[in-house]
Formats: sequence, structure tokens, C-alpha cells
Amino acid sequence: MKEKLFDNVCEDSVFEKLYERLSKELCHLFYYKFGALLSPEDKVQEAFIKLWENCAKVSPDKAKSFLYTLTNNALLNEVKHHKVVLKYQQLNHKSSSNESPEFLLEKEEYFRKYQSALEKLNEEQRTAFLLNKAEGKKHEEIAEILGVTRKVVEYRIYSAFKLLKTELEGFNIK
Amino acid sequence: MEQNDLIQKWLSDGLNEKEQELFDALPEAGLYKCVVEDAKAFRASDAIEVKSFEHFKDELKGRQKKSKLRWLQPALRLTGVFLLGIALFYSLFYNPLQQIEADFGEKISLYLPDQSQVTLNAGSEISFQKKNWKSKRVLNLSGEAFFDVMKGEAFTVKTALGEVRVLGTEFNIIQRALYFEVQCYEGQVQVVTPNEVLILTEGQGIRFYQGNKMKLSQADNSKPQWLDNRSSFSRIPLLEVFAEMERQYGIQIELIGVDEQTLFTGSFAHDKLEEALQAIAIPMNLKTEMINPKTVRVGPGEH
Repeated sequence: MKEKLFDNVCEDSVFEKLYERLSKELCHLFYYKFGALLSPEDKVQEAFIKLWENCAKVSPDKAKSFLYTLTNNALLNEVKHHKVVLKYQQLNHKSSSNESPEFLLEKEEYFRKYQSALEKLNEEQRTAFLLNKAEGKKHEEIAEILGVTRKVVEYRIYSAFKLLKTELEGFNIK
Repeated sequence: MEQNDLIQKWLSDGLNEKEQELFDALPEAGLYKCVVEDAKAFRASDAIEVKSFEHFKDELKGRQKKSKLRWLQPALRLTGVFLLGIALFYSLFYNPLQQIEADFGEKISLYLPDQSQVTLNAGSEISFQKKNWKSKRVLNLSGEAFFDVMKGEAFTVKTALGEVRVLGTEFNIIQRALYFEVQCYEGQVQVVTPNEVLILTEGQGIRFYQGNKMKLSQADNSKPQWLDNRSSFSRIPLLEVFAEMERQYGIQIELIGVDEQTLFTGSFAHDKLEEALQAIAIPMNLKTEMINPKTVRVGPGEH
């Protein structure tokens, strides 16, 4: 509400706060949406630069949609030429020290399958699912970020999960 | 259906205790838990690095440096227009003087832009403006030249001692120090000196020497003899004759004890110095002596 004092984002302090608040969220969102190959973090940064150049025309409450639209468009322009690639990190399981090579191999296979399954999801499903389960965001937060209702978020997560479990059926890594 | 509801609730963390038990009892509960748990492996924060605000500011600074250079572009554009203007100005209005000079011992024949022909005798020079030549045929002459002028606009030759104007004709002009001579070979020429205006018709000639006017006899040639590498004189002071020889051969002639004003009538060739010297020395009773290849001394002959 404090930001309402300003009708644009040219003020340094306002802009910095916006950046701190939105850059991470947007980067993560667009990563889930489009994957790593398009370097969404660069596109977000680019959008912030555009925002700064047009700061006089954008009010603080419009800044997010401004950034979102710019980044989204920039990524959509490129997305046709790339497939979505998400990276995965080995999670530290408690039993990691005494895993057999066969088990490690199967786990590797499992994550590769998981990765390709994620890539098969549509961007709406993937974004909602990963914001919830990877990022740990609540359904309400995701609804707000994506600008949809909570029900829609829940549905997207559920349909994503259904597809994932079908893809990953048969693996038993625990 | 029951199971799907259960899963949906589980995904929303909305299971009560009893439902949780039911869910755990599902044959694939283990896999389900894995799928949800392992989603964390794909966390964005592990895969990409969100750039800090400091990084953003650095990037922005870099851009602004570039954008500061934006003034350069219009400046370059202006410079371009300016240079173009200068180029245009020069091509339209700048009219460099063409200068052609025949050195000693050299004759040059050239065509002017309108195909009029000029032949320069040794030690002579013309200058003219090449541009707009056809509408403004004016040239400056110092020395001796033969003109074959194409018909057209007035053709003017300016010399230090007077102007010659024609419309289309052949004529020869000599302008040396004190001596100005125009010989018309074809058509008509107008000779303008500070004191008078004369019209010469075919074959007529006029000479001004030290301010004295003298009509020249009818020329029997259709062009001056020097075009055939021969200098011809009719009652010309020796001084001028030897000066012409100096120009034709590129030598120095020292006159010692000779009356420079004695008039000479005759001619000499431009290719053999020895014969040329004799052609003057014998009729004028002079003695010539080559001091070195570039210097000739002329003294009175023996009686």
C-alpha cells in the first residue's frame, strides 16, 4: 500500500523493492513454464531493464503484469525453437551411502523419466505442480501468481500428478 | 473415483487422519509420495540463478553507457548531411581552375571541353574553368598559343596585355613580356587592348611592341610555323628572337656586346640548336659560342 504513494516506478527505492519482490518469483515461474534452455533469468532481467526505461509510464501495481507480459512474450518468441528442459538435482536420501549400483542406476533412470514426464506436461500443469511441490508454495499463492482461481490451481496440480504417476508407474525406488 | 478424490485431497494437504490411513493403504501410495517428494529435485532455485539487484544495476549502467552514445547517432547523421552538403556545394559551385603549362622545349596540344583545340608553344601556360566551359569560354594565356576554336558562344582569351574574342576561327596569340601579337588564320577575331578594339580578318595580324602598334603582313600560311617546329620572325628585335630560342631549347643565351633591339627577319628550327644558332648568327653577323651544353654566348661577329 505504501507504493500507492508513487504513481510510477522511477524512484530508486520503489524499483529496488519491486526487483527484490518480483525477480525471483518471475524467474522461477518462467523456469517452470519454459525450462532452463531459454534462460528465463536473462529474460526477466531484460524485462526489468525495459521497466526501468519505461518507469514513468508504469505504476507500481501494474509493474508485475508489465514484467510478466514482457518476459512471457520474449520467451514465447523463442519457445517454438526449443523444447522445455528442466534440470534436476540429486536429492539427498538418507540411505544414499549404502545404495547398490543397480539401485543408483534405476534412480538415475527414474529421474530421467521424471524429467521427460515433466516436459510432456503442458506449461499450465507443470507450472502449477512445480510451484506447489518443488517450490512449496500454497495453492492460494499460486493462484495469485498465475492470476487464476484456487480451484483451477488444484485441478492443474491434480492433472499434472495423474500424468506423472502414469509415466512413472513401475518404478520402485524406495 | 473414491481413490481420485483421495489423491486430490492429498495433493491439497486436505486429508484428515482417517483419510490419510486410507491413502497410505493404497497399493501405489509409495510411488505417489515419491512423485510429489521428488518434485523438489526440479526446484528452480537449484537450476537457475536469479540475478541480484546489484547485478541488475551493473547491467543497467552498461546499457546507459550505450544509451549515452545515442547522441552520437544523430550527430553522425548530421555530420553525414553536412558532408553531403559540402560535397554537393563543391560539385555544383566549386570550379577549380584547370592549368596547363608547356615547359621549355615542349609543345602541348590539347582539346578544350568543346573540342576547340589549343596548341601551346614552349614556355606558355593557359588556365580555364572546365565546368560550364561551353557556356562561358574564357581562358587565360601567358605565352604563345595557337587556337582552333569550334563555333559556339564567344570565345575569349585573356592575356596580360589584352583580350582576344572570337566566335569560331583559327588564330595565334603571342604575349611575351612587352610584346603582344595576334595572327588570325581563319574567320574573324576581335582584339581588345586597354587602349583600343580591333577586328582582324583572315590572314591579318597585329603586333604591339612596347606600346607600338604594327600591322603584320598577310600570313601566307594557314597556321603558325611553330606548329611545324619552326619559329619564324618578321622584324622582331633580337632580344625576343633569342628569348624564343631559350624557350624552345631550354638553354641560357648570354648576349654580350650585341644590340638587342636590332630587328630580325627569318626563322629557326626547333630540333637542331647548332643550325638554329647559325640561322640567326650568319645573317646578323654574330658569333656564337657554346660555353656548356646549356649555355650559349653570343657576341658580335668579325668584320
